[in-house]
Amino acid sequence: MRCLVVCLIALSLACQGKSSASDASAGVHSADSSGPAVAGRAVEALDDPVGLDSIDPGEDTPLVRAELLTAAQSFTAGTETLLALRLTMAPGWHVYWRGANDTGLPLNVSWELPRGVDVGPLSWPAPERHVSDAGLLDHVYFGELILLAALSLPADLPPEPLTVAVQVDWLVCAETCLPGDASLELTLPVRLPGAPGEPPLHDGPGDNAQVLHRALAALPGAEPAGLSVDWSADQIVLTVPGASGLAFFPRDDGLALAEMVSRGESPTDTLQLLRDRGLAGGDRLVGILAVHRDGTAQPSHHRLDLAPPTREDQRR
Amino acid sequence: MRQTLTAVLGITALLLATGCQGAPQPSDGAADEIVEVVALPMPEGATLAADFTLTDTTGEEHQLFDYLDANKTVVLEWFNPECPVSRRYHSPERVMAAAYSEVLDDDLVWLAINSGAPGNQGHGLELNRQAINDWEIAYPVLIDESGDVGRAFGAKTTPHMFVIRPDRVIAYDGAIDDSGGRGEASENLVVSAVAACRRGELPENGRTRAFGCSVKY
Repeated sequence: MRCLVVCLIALSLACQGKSSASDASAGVHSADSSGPAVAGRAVEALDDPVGLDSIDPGEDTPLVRAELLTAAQSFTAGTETLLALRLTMAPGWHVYWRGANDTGLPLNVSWELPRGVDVGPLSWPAPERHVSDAGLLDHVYFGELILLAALSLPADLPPEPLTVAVQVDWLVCAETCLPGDASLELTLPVRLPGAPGEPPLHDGPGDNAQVLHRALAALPGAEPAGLSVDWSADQIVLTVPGASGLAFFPRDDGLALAEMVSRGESPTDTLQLLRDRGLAGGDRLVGILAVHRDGTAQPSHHRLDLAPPTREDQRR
Repeated sequence: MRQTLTAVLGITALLLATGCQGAPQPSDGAADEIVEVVALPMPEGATLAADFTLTDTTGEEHQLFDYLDANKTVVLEWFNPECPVSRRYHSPERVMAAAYSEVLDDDLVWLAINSGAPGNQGHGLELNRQAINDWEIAYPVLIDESGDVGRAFGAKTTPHMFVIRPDRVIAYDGAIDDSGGRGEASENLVVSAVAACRRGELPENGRTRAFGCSVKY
């Protein structure tokens, strides 16, 4: 039964590990957070909707399902391809962004790659602001989190299947918190440079391409048009003309900010951030800005990484 | 909030005026002895610890000001035996125990506090006693069910560490180390803070962002 279920996962997550030389265990390896990691158990729990609704941390229900995906069907030497690390959380449970959170632990991701193969930094979608009953602010993900990374393959790869592995550690919380981890790997055949017919970076047949497209569309973009930033001794005022609301999600390595529960969101085109001078932090304002506009249901998200003005820049 | 701030500033001013080296020693009749009173440096925006009395898992009471007035530095560790982060610092690697033995001396007291409310993760005498036993915790674990003490200090996570000087100034408030909760730590921030206080200096980082599970108020 378990073997059949594993095969079903492998088939449903098509577009990887399809090489005739590989066996059924090649491709995506997924793991859950409670008890020993067994892909079969994860699917059995999903088949039973009652199991997910009544979350009892003591039961063998996956609170987080982790997968490593790509849309490509092979690794082409001398090119880049996009990898997605997808976490699916049980309803009501969340994992943490590497933000200026009052609590929690950010996700920890470490790659294990063959020699000559490199991976770029992870790209994160915008988190949600989550204020607890106790007034603590965290920047978290509910439901689904897809992280993207660009894998670059050297031109001189040997023509044999290549395995990319990743170790993910997380803290997943609802009213309680549980640690979890997954060891994932992805094995694909290697195509030599110049071989015809390889689909581009993130297109390909099957569901995985959709996952990657969705993740790419969700990535924060560049600074919003018209953004003005006014730095004073203690305040940083962000203005986006035409916005009907703003929210700022500060990253943990940027400038420390105070009173973010109240100051992190505004129903106008202006956000007044306050420096927290007593708290250790970086020099730059780093994070993601959400911009709401009348007429659009979802805000747009923008990466900010702003240096404070030098003394010469300051007017006062 | 404003009133509290005014009260804190008032007390701070008073302490500065009188010298904040902890409880003055009673005179033994040597009236001509001149005692040099050295004021400890004040951190910017100094906050003073509020007094509390809590009972530990053995039924013994502990009052903060008793320790401070006896010229002791007090380390507070917010603790939850069921929080995986709090647990990780006790077992299997005994990071907390190692920090404790590094700073332990006659002038220091280390207290763990559990501010979990009844029904929440990590609450319960038996549970906490078991943890003390299993993880060989050498210091008291105080039970703060109402969460009043946790809220008074602004304890957000488990672990969340505070280092309080004998003059009641909170010299350090934040994470146990500089790992950010992921990866290796290069510095135990409590050990550094205690060392700085003992040198009569302010810790280099007076406040850092703590990590861990939220305190289960």
